[in-house]
Amino acid sequence: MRLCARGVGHCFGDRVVLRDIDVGVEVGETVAIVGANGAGKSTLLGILAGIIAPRSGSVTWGGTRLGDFPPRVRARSIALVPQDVSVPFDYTVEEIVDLGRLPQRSALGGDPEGPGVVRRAIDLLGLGPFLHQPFASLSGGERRRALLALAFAQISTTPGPRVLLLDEPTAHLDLGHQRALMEDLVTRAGAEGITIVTVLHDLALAALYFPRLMVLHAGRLIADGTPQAVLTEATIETIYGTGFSIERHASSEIPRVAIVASAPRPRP
Amino acid sequence: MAPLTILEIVLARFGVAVAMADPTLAAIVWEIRLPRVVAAGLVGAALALAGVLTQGLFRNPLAEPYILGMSGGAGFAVTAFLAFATPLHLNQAMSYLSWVGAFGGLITIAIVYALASRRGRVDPLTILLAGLAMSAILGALTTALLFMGDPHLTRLARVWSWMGGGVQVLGWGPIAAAVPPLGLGIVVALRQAAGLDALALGEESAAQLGIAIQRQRVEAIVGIALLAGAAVTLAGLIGFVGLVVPHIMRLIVGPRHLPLLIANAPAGAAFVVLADLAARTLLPPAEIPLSVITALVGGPWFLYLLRARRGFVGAIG
Repeated sequence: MRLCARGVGHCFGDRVVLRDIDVGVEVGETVAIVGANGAGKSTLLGILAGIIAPRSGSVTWGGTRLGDFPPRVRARSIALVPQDVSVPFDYTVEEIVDLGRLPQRSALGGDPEGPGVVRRAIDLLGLGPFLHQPFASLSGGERRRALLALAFAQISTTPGPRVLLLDEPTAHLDLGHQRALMEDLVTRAGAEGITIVTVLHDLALAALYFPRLMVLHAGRLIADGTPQAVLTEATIETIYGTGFSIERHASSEIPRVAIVASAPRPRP
Repeated sequence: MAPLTILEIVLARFGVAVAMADPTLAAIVWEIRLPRVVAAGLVGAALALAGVLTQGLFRNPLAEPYILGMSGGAGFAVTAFLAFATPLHLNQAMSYLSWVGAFGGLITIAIVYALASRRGRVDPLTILLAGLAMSAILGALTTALLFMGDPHLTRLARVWSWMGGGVQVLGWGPIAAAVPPLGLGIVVALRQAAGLDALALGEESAAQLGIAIQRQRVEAIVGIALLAGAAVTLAGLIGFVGLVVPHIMRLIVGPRHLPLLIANAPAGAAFVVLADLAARTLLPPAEIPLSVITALVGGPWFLYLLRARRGFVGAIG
């Protein structure tokens, strides 16, 4: 296993958010973490990224404990894309994406590949028109793309295995932007052999784009497998309670979770 | 006095030119005018750099050592130190006053930080209010201390005018004493550039970029305290320089911290030298305190920023 969590547990104060998590992700795998609000998804992501030290257990990257890497070295192959960020100063989109090169810079600030890599990441995500605009003036979807470009710029010149961790990349995006982001993510990362682990709320997107789902519930990993194996009536009831149906379309193998209203919609 | 005469006096002092000017004139330039200009420049550079560091560290365009109470803390520490130093020790004490001031600033910011943070997050509005309250408390304590430690009010007048803010240094002694903490502060400040850029994206992003957040935070705070301590020791409480200059320079060189820090040193120096010139010459023969000039320029600026940035401060507040 390339990225591997063993017996990971974590708490904030006396609130336990994760217990006894054992997961492993191989090179090139794409995985979605799903679960209800407060299930511990973002915390698990932070622990896998090495920016939160778990209270118990450990995470290894290629056999070495994450905590044993100098942070800058770790940051060259593991990138975390946060949900959204607010930037208090008027950095341009280009300057924001360029921040991805920080861990790649030498002690004297040298990074000969930097400008080319940043330019490529910007083109890849269609941010060309916004290059010199303030990051803070972008829409939610554009900001998300800029953060993804930053992450690509951060890890794309690193030889060997790399992993991209994303926290709710499609939150607050309209359907068009959701699809565009997912396509970008899966196709670009797939082409470069980057491992992806993403937290997703949307089960439909998760089932559609990811061959493997991990289900977190109240800090525990309760299911881990293909969408077909994981999205069962029992699992859905455990996570969200009753009031859902699972539709299996004949044309595809992908299950769809649908909300069932308790009372029929009033008709005019 | 003609610029050439001044140049001649300075060059003569370094043995580069032959002294030709009137010796009294030369003494005035070398012992009074020049130290004052140099002190004003150093104070301006220190305050502007401290402003950049404070704003970057707290991700808050309105933060500044004076507003967050660090200047008040430095002033209180220096006053307390002077009040309890015997006259015999006073001369030696002068050489490490800046360090005392830096220590006072450090303690103050630690308290303000603790007051404004909740579960590791610093609320941008709360920290401004906490700093404001600390400034008021420390100002009152400083005054009380002066009356307590000095019933005959022999030192009161001098400390009073110093706290009022101004570069009334005489000779080169105080400047030489302020240079080590100031130099160290500048070095520390420049080391923070990349980390502060990363921090603009938030702590989570900075951490995932490989920045050691805790260490960065401690280093930046020590840098701010050193710079503010040196500035306060030289010139008392001068507000808003660390607000106005970084903001103007951000418009000119952009928000990235390495060019921003480098540009702020000369810009801050120029700003305070000019403000001091105005303080000396606007209402002759009276001298307006330097802090009055900077507050008259910077106060409205702060209010304007507060209004323009209200959306931002509210958004994460």
